[in-house]
Amino acid sequence: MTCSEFHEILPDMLEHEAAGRHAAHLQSCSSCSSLVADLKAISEGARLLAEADEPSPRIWANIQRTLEAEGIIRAPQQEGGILFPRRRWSIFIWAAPVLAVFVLVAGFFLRAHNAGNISQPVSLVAQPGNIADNDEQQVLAALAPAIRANYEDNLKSVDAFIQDAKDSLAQNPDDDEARHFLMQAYEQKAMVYQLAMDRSAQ
Amino acid sequence: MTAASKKQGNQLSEAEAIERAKLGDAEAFQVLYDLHRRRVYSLCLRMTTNTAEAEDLTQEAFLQLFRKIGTFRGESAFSTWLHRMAVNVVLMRLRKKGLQLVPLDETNETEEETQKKDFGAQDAVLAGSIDRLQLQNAIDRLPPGYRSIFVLHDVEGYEHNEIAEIVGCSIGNSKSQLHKARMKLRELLRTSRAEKAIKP
Repeated sequence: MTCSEFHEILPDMLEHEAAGRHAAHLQSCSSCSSLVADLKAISEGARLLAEADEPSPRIWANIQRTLEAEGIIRAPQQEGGILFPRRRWSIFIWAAPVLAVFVLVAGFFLRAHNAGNISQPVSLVAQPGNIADNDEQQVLAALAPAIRANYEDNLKSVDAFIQDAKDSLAQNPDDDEARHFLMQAYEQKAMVYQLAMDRSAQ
Repeated sequence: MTAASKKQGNQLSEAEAIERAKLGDAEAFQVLYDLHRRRVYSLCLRMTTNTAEAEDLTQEAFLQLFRKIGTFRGESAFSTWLHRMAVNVVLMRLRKKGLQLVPLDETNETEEETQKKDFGAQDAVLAGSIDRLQLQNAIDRLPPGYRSIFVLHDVEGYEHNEIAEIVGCSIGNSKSQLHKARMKLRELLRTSRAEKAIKP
């Protein structure tokens, strides 16, 4: 093989790393062997150039400003709003004990009022729109106003947690944390409801 | 999973950041920018050889990405999607500037002439002694068409069929131009080395 012939097949040889088939020529020709070594070194050196540089910090500032102006980046919202279900559930691990405390406080509150208002008459009143269940409405109606307000607050909090967990699960059905949290929230709601049932039955 | 897609410490993973960015979460956009800014900027810089233009193109590429992030369905890797977008942004800019992206005869030198020159050059073997700065300077001095294909293939790792599609040339043309670009780089590196050797 001549050097000219070798040069013709060189691009393919480098592409497929098939130097072995042309080893005889490369061993006998220092010019071609140094050419192959150089081209390989250039190619290998080039791979190390990726990700070597850093853009100025003002680039992110410009991007952020533009995205905000175009409404693509949304301002952070209050907890329990749109952003809530997107957060990792692990950072809301405190919510379960807080809910439990809610239940205990509600229970204590209900029982304390129970002692002084045993003979309070049961009356049906209009209920908040987010409480749809008829039984629940009757339970609420049977409570004294102060107790009912406390109960409704607790119920709203539990419902908000349930809704956030549901939304998160809808977006990511494999989110075990959200599933676990949803189950806990349902349990807490059941306890709140049970306490209210106990109170209204008396 | 790529390094960029792994979760580091309390940082969001790439997948989480993508989902949150789709909902407009500011923090998620920044996470994605931080994960990929260096690679995108490096690509822009290699292809334009101009820092101001590279920053401008980096900004444009990320803006396009974030505007379209809602359409990302995960059929390809996010980094591939972003990278392809950045390449298109750069090529569009180069085309607007009237630069030839498919080089046919940029060096005014035939392949035969290059080969003849090479046969006689026994000195200054480069292998094993190419430093980063030398190589970068040589790439910067390549004609734009050679540079595009060399950067896409050897620096960024695209295959010839992908380059042909992106740049709009045949696969054979891409292979041929890559070889010419490498040969030209070798010549530039050897010339640079010889000039350094002459200087005291």
